Amino acid sequence: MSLPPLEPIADLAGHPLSAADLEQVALILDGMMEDIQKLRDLELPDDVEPILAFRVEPWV
Amino acid sequence: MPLPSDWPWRSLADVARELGRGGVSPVELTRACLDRIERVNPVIQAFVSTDASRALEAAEAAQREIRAGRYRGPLHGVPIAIKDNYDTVGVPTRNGSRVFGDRMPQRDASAWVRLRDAGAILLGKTTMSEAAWGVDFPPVRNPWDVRRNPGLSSGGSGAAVVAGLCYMAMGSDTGGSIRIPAGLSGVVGLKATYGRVPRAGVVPHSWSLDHAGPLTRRVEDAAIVLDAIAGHDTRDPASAAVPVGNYLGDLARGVRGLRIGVPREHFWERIEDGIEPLVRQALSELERAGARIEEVSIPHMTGALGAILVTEMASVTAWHDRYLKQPERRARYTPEVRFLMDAGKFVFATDFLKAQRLRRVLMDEVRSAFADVDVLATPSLPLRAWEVSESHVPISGQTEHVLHACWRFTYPWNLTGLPALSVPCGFAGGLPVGLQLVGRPFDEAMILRVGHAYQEATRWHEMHPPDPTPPA
Repeated sequence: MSLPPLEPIADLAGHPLSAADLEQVALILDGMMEDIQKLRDLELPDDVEPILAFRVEPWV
Repeated sequence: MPLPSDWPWRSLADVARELGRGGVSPVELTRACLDRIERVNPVIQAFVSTDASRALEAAEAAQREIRAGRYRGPLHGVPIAIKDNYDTVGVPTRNGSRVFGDRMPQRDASAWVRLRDAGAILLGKTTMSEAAWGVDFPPVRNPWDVRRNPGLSSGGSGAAVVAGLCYMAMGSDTGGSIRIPAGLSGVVGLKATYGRVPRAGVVPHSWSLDHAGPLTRRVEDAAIVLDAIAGHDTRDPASAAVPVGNYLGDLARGVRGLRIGVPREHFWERIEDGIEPLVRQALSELERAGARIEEVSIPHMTGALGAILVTEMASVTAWHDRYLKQPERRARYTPEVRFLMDAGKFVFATDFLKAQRLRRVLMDEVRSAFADVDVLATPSLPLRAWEVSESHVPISGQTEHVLHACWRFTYPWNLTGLPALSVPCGFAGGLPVGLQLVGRPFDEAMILRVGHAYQEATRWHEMHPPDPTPPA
């Protein structure tokens, strides 16, 4: 998977990085994009809400 | 008089029995451990720091108490170690990083307070990967083969236990970092239910995934430790006010009539030769002991890796953001870890929220999978210990990054928060293999009971590596 230029995204995130650093970051992201894309492609039912404060409760 | 030569290999439970009846003293044991650390640690680097005078002082106090009839219980006088991300007043807590090289905690981690109150003797802190992130290790070596890695961020804890340097070491587990070193080093690793063991005072890595827990030689030892550290803690916002069990007391109930579920998906895919037969053999052993094995299904497990990736990356970067913004501190991260943290800035909120939605789906599916079974069983890892110089390994014809490969079977139980235990179940090519047992929320007693029954029927936990020598 080829990534778009990351510099504008880094700037947008308020985290500007040098070209050399961006190159390393791109390598890392490239290695993860297949799994992240699988997550994006998942069809989840409309009524599934995100768990925003993660807690485990006993099953009753 | 020196202790008998088998002392480094005794279990915590054995040692506790001897301490309780006065067959050995805390000072003798602590000295023996410190001597052994001095001899073995230069090769395996399991400890990042030790404090002999403080340990001996605590051992002398324990000895006085025990002799005066004030025996506190099975951890009293037992020498232990703690991972370098647990706050310990008076001992630096560096989180494996030069960024925190000057960090002296003002308050002890809750788990350490409970261990200390139970009478445990702290020998020192175990080596960890920087900020529990990445694979750029300090040079911790696997005692079974010093050319190899002992596991991820709690690797020092796994190496310390299997090398006989202490009788228990605490680790932390965000995607598998207790169970992975347990599996690769041939020891027991317990990650209790999320919220069961306080994380307060353990440097955060990913708030919703972090767990604290022990690495030990025997399941019985892990039960002893859990008895001491489990329970609600007001200092930890995720701590659960759920009654704790009698983990040691429940161990001997056996597995007759229990139902063990084996997930159909995910856990048998892309796995190194030699691992699956050992895990299937372990299941047969449990069947012989009276358990029933059944297949179960967790369909969304296969796609869940992306969920933990975005959750962990975003969380780690969010916590470290204030340090990443300080040029002087930023420069102290090793480049590999800094790049990983920078990459966390590129996680989109929509992906993060999708991951948290998937966690809910997974929780529901796992709950259904548990409808007719008492525990789940899987391999702990799809690979054995890799060489320290390797970043990628071939598995089933595919080359895979070791970080990606090693947590494939462990991270689902961080996403769902369920209790999980890794138990040694044999050796493939001379390297340890682990069986992973997973329980219902807060049912640590059940996985400990099954793990103990397995250890009662087998002898893998009695095997130990020869004293390590430097790699050629």
